[in-house]
Parts: sequence; structure tokens; C-alpha cells
Amino acid sequence: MIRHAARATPWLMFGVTAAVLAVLLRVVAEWPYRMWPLEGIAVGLLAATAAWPFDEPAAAVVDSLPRGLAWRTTARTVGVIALVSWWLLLVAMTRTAYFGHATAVAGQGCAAVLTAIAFVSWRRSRGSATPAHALAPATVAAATFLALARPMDDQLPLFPYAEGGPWTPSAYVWSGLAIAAVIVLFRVLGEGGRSTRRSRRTPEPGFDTSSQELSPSPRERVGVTLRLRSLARALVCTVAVMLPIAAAGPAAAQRLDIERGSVQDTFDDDLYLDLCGITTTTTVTERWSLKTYPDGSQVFHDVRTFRSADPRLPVEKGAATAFYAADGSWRVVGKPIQLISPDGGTVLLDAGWISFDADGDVSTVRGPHPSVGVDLADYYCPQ
Amino acid sequence: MSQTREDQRTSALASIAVHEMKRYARHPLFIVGALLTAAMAVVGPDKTSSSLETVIVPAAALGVFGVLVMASLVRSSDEANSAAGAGVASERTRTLALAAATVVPFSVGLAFFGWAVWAFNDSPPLDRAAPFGDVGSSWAYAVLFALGALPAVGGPILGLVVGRWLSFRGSAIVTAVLLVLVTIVMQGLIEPLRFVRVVMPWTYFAGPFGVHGDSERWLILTGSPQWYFVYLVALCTIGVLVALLHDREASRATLVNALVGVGVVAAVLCALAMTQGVQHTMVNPLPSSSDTP
Repeated sequence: MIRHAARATPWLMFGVTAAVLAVLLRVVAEWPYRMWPLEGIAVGLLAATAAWPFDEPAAAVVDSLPRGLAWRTTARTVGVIALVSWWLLLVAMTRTAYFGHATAVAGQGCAAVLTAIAFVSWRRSRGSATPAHALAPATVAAATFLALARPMDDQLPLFPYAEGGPWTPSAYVWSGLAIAAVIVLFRVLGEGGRSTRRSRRTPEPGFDTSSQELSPSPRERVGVTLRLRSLARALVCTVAVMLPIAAAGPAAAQRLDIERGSVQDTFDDDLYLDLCGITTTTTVTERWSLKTYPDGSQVFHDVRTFRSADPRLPVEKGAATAFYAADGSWRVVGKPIQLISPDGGTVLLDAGWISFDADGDVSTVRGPHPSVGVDLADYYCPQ
Repeated sequence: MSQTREDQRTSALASIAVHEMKRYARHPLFIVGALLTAAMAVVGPDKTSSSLETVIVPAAALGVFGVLVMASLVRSSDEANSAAGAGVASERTRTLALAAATVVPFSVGLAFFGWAVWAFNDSPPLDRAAPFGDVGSSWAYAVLFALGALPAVGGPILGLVVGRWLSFRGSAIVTAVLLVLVTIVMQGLIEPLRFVRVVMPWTYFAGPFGVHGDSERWLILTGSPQWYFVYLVALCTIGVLVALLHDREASRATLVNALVGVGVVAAVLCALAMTQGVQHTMVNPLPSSSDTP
């Protein structure tokens, strides 16, 4: 099966797609508000690429072999699972970019892949040798158009945008697609797992069809056993791909209270008075969302810019998500502080992950957090 | 004798070109793209910016889709040619015929342009949108043509280049995605890239990019859309020449010379598109929340 998968998977295209997906999600992570259409396009590219291995240009030959469509489909899923795993890893690495909906974004990719596989398998079972040739461009085109033009955001919320987007209806749409895809897969692969094209083909001269229908040959009985095993393997693979989607549903459902806001305010800045002895006003521009869960835990996402009226002082930017656990501990993920000098250039950058215990002491640090445990006056005050 | 051969070649090109035009017109993705463009026109222009903001629809539905359509036509053309045996038509003739098939999407792009000009005059943009100040209607028409009509040619020609030069599976869809990626990055949202953004085959010249204190304020970005659309025509010509260069059986010397010449012209046109027209980002004096009609 591994050998079959190794030869059937277009590794060059998978490699190129993996690299492009990484770039797309990295750009989204850098400018989530501005580059958001790339998220939907990434989902489309993932689904389109996942469909390719299921094309069988030599269908006329392989359909006549003992290993049925179910076995071959299962074998060809190996590369796809690797690609989906890469997708999940990328989403996890850029999870702060999705307005607190990283699980939903991961689920979009998984559901799109399942739908693409179901469609291609169905077309294969109906005799089409290379259905991905049509599906892949159509998928990318549809995702591109929907992500860029967003023509039916309310009616068809496939790629919701920002904190206030219709994420819950979107989760239902993608879950529905995934469930429908699984049903189609089971029907297609379970109905014998062979292309109907072969059964419709005129028998070769001298081929005794009547005896085959009345009493299956030993080779056919072996074939049936193989198909059943293949089906079981297909089930395992499908469940493995479905797990993230199953996780996405409850994650969306358990959210009870969400507050959002945007702030633009100018105030007397005590920070500079305390640190540097400078009296100035600062303008803050901020977009935030706060989710409160039934167990008391909270998720606070904030994107903000502090700009002081005094031109000698740096500009402070921040884009991060804080997760407050019910036990009082919390962690901050993202880029909470980026201090930009008035002359340009970053003078201080906290990025990555930092967690605190219930007493407020730092417990884990991943990534640079130079602001912890230093005199901030060195960074904030003019030299 | 030579005249007869030339006539035969011209006749073959014309008949294959007509055939490719029909194939393009029948391609499902093109039909969907044309219908989406038509549907957008039926829905009507944007209430704030009129037809200026609607150019994204033909750019995506005719341009990006066109990359995929043309790459598919190139592949099927090659398959049909190899199935028919050697000597049916040279690669150069088939490439020219495929390039000629861009007449089909371009006619839809022109129809969009006609509608967009009509809509721009019938339902002009609000004062708080663009154009404003010294920037007038000719600027707007150039934007509508460059960003609405020309992508219908540019996208398919890029597909032609991809179909000729990139043979791995899925090359067209990866190219389409990369095209969208670089276009979004260079569309004018990122301030340091605004001046050089006209290098790209699609970019905005105005939009609600915002200023400090008003995140939706309309701006007119630097550059001349009039020079820009001439630059895009040069890019399309370069695309056709690059696609023709793939044929190793035909003489390439003339093509290489032409490519160098058009390349130089394109560089000059790009520089003009950058340095002519508006030279400082113009901020609409009216705030974005203003309801002034």
C-alpha cells in the first residue's frame, strides 16, 4: 500500500503546495485584517491539491485488477493525510491570526479536503478517470472568487472575517459538508469499490460472464475480502481526518459570552510620567474581543497601537491573545509588545508564548520576551 | 511556392484560432466567470464608489479563472496534437491560435468596461470616495479599463505561459494562487510598497485605505493608470512572446530580439506609470463616515 501511495502521490505538487500554504498563512498571520482573503484561498488550494492523487489516468487498466477502488483510494490517502497534518501544524503555528477561531480554520481545511476526496471518489466510481483535472481548478477558482469578492457573506458564510464574522453558521456549513462527504465516501467505497465503467464494458471475446455471475471465482472471493479490509482502513483514515472537525464543533458551541469593541482615545499617559518624567498625551487605537466561557475562563484578543504626542517617544504596537484559565493562571500568545523607535526600527519585541501562574510569576517563556524583568525606561524613554 | 506556403500557414492559424475561440467560449470556468461578471452588473454598482470597486469581480472571474482555463486548453491542445500525429500544426501556430482565443474573454471584459463607464456616470461615486480633487474622469476610465477589462486578456496569457513552460501537475492552480498572493500584498494596503506596486499586473489606484484616526478614509494612491494600462499591454505582449519561445523547432532569434525590445519598452512604461500622474498619496478631505451625497 505504501508503495502504491508513494507512486500515486504527486509529491512535487504536494511539496510546492506545502510551501505555498506556509507562505499564505504566514502572510495572514502578519496582516490578518488586510490579507484575510488568503485564508480562504489557502483552504481552496489545500482541497484542490488533496484531490490530485485520486486521479487514475490508467483507469481502464487498474479497474480490471483485483484491488478495488476502496483499496486504491485508501492507499492514495496516505499523502493527503501528510498534507492535512501539515495544514493543521501551520494553523497551530499561526493560531493567533484567526481572531480566536484557529480551530474553525483548521476544520475548514479538513472539511474541504474530505469534500474534495468524496467528489473525486464518486466521479471515479462513475467511470471518470481523471476527475481532479476539472475539480482542482474549479475549487481554486471558487475559493478565490468567494474569498476575494465575498459575494454572499451572509447567505453562504464559508470564510467568515474578523471577530464579528458569522463563525458559528460557518462551522455548521463546513460540518454539514464534512458529514455529507463521509456519507458519500462510504456509499461510493462500500458499493463494491470498483468503477462501474468496468461493469458496463463489453466483455472480451471468449470471456464467460454467465459462470462468473453464478459462482464467484476464488480470485473474486479474495477480492471481496480485500475490499472489506480496505473499507475498514478507509474508515480509520476518514475518522482521523474528521477528528479536528469534531473538535471544531464543540469549541464553537461552548462559547457563551462574547464582547467586542474598538477604541480610539487620547489620554494623559502616566507610563511616561512614571518612567521618564515626561508629561504627554497618548492616542490608543484598539480592536479587542473578550470571550467568557461557562467555567470562568476567558480569552482576550487585542490589536492596538499607542502613539504619543511627543515625537521623541516610540510607537507601541501589540497583537496578541491572552488566555485566562479558571484557576487564575494565564498565558499570552502572539506579539504583545512591539516598540518602534521614532527614527524607525524595532527597539523591543516580545513575541511567542509566555505563561504566568496564579501568583503572577512567569512559568513558561517561548520566544523572545525582553520586556520581562528589565528596566523599561531603557526602551521607552528618549536617550 | 513560398507565397502558397505562407497562405496555407495563415489559413491553418485562422482555422485553429477559431477552433480555440470556440473551445474557450465553451469552457465551464469561463462561462461561470462571465456569468458572475454579468450577475455583478445586474446587481449594480457600489453605492459609495460606483463601479470603481467592482473591478475585482472581472479581475477574479475572468483574469484568475482565465489562468486556469487557458492552461487547461494548452494541455488539451497538446494532447490532441500528439494524438493526431506529427505535422498537424506546429507548436508556434497552436500557441498563436490560443493567444488569439483571448478575444473571447476580452470581449466580456470590454462589455464590463462599457457597463462600468455607464454606471460611473449614471451613479457617480460619493464625494467622500474617489475620484476627488484634481483627479478626474479620465483617471477613472483608465482605472476601469486597466483593472476591469485588461485582466481578461492578461490572465489567460499568463495561463498560456504556464501551460507552455510548467509541466508539473497543478502548476496552473499554484500559479493562480501565487498571482493572487503577490497581488494582494502589492495592492496598496502596505504603505512602503505603494510607490512600486504598479510593477504588478493588478493593483488598486484608490480605495478606503484609511488614515490615522479614520481607518476607512478614501485615498488616491500614487501613479498614472493611463500609463499603467499601456504597461499592461506590453506585459501581455511579453507573455505571448515567452509562450512562443517554448517551441524549440522554430527559429528563436527574432523572438528573442522582440522580447528584449518589448521588455525595454515595458520597463520604460512601468517607470512612467510610477512617476507620472499623482505623485503624493491624496487624502479625501471628507471623513469616511460622511454621508454627503
